[in-house]
Amino acid sequence: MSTVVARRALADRRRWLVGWSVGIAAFVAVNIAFWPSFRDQSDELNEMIERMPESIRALFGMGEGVDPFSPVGYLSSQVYTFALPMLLMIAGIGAVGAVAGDEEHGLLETTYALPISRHRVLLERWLAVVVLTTVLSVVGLVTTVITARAVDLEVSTASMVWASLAVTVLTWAIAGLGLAVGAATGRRGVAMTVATVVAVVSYLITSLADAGIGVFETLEPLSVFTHYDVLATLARGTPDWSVLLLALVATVATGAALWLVDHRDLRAA
Amino acid sequence: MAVSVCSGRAYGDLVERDLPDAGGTGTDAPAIVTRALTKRFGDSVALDGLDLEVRAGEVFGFLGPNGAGKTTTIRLLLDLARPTSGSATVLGLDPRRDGPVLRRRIGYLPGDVNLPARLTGRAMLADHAAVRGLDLHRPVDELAERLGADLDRPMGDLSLGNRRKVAMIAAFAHRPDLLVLDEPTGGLDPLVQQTFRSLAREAAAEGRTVFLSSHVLDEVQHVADRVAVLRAGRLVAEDRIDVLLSRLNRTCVVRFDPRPGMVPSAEVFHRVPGVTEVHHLHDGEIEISLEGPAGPLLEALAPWSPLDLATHEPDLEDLFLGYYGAEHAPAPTAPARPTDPAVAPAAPAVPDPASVTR
Repeated sequence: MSTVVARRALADRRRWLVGWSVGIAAFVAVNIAFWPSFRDQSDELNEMIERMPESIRALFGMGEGVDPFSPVGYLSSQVYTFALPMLLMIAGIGAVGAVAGDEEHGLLETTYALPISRHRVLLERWLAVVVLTTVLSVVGLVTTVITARAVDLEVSTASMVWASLAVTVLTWAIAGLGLAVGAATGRRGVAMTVATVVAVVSYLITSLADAGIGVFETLEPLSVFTHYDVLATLARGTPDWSVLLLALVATVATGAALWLVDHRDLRAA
Repeated sequence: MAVSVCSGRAYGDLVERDLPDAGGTGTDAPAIVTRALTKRFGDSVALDGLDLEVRAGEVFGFLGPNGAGKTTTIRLLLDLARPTSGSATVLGLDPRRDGPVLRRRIGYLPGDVNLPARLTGRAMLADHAAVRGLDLHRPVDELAERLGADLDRPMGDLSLGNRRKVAMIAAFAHRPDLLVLDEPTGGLDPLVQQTFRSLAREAAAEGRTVFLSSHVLDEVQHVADRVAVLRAGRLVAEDRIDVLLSRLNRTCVVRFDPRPGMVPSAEVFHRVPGVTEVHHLHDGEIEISLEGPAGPLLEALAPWSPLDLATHEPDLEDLFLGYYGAEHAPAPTAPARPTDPAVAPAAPAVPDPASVTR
């Protein structure tokens, strides 16, 4: 089966992929590299954190029940809870925005006039996004494993693998929403905006619900971040099955995108 | 992550074997049929009940001013857009239901040539060949040579004309049964325009159909067999190009010896069939508007020994004026005969102030 559309989409993003890989690797490495000094000043920092409101601590991934100065607590708060998901989601939203963007700029006009269905074009473009985000996630994982070993951050590799799987699927869920909105509108800006707003609002809902704020506790099940319990995943070293719900979101969004793109006019430039 | 050219079948083999059962499209079956094809965008009507029939193997000109609905029609035929109502059948197939199967047999040149800026023409054409499962190296190289196309520079570095050449190669290379070309010669120099016309004629000579959309009469009149004229989403004329042109006013400027008695008066042309207007210009020149064959006029002119005769070919403006009139231009609801020019042949010509007739 020819996957020329997917391969071209990947080829177009070679430099992008290198840039993002370097950025993510550098970010992860630098954050983990501070572990020794963080550990050595844990008493002073602990006092400071104790004085913070619960909601602020929750925002930065320092939930109840896990010592923020433990290796798992540190890796969670510094990498997996906020920064890495956000970086991956920004990359994923950018990549998926290009699908609608190319249509918006008339670049898909000649592709859609080829003997290939709209479904096939969209699926191959989505496949490229999935591959790109997976590669970035693997880069993050490999960097985490190597740097953690170098600075004696004692978290099992299995924990990191499962946490990386969770963050990858979370990224697909958000990017999938962007794909669906782009498929419905053919507009890059709308697709990216909606996906970004969903990501940010979800993060805030889950964090503030964790802090026990009533209204957010009600909304919590709607947030994609609620189903991304990376702290528990890191602590247990086993997969968190709620990630399957995120996979379901990504799958449903992809299905919706396929239906939507087939029930409208393609945009003329 | 280089994308290689698909090493599929040789392109010379493709025409018959690749064709799916066209659902009864024999050689006599029309290539395109639309019935009451309508497309609305909100409150605006882009295409209003288009009934069109394009015969297989002809070069069909699809004329109309910008915004008339030409590109909308093309996008409906390719299933890039969906009709609000009505139907279209292309090569015996339904554009929506049979989309990929149908598009295998179509070559499309879009009016707005938006191509990936960082990609070379060769890479894009290789992608297209791979999607089609064909080896198109040879026809691509041949077409590039004929058109003088540069396939090895990023397309973002190419001029509009050079990008259009690449898009033209993409449309022609797989020798499709139907070529759908939207404003194909914009930005091309005259020599390349000539090559394009040759390509279109060759395609038709091989029994393939060319659907050629343009807002410039000149772009289609030298190559099309028949034309349809679209205006404000409605079909206002459909006929052979020569018939259509012969119904239109052409303008001749005839120069005579300016001395008294050597320039014929307007009355000379009163009874000449086809002459609709006569204006005396200056220095022995007369401007004559003619509808239909030129023979009777030439016979009438001969005794006056004209020194020179220049004709102005009707252009799309004349065509539209002929069909709608200059001021009031109600869009007819059906293909119509040209409206008769306001001035009857026998009416005296309006004398030009600069007339030197004495």
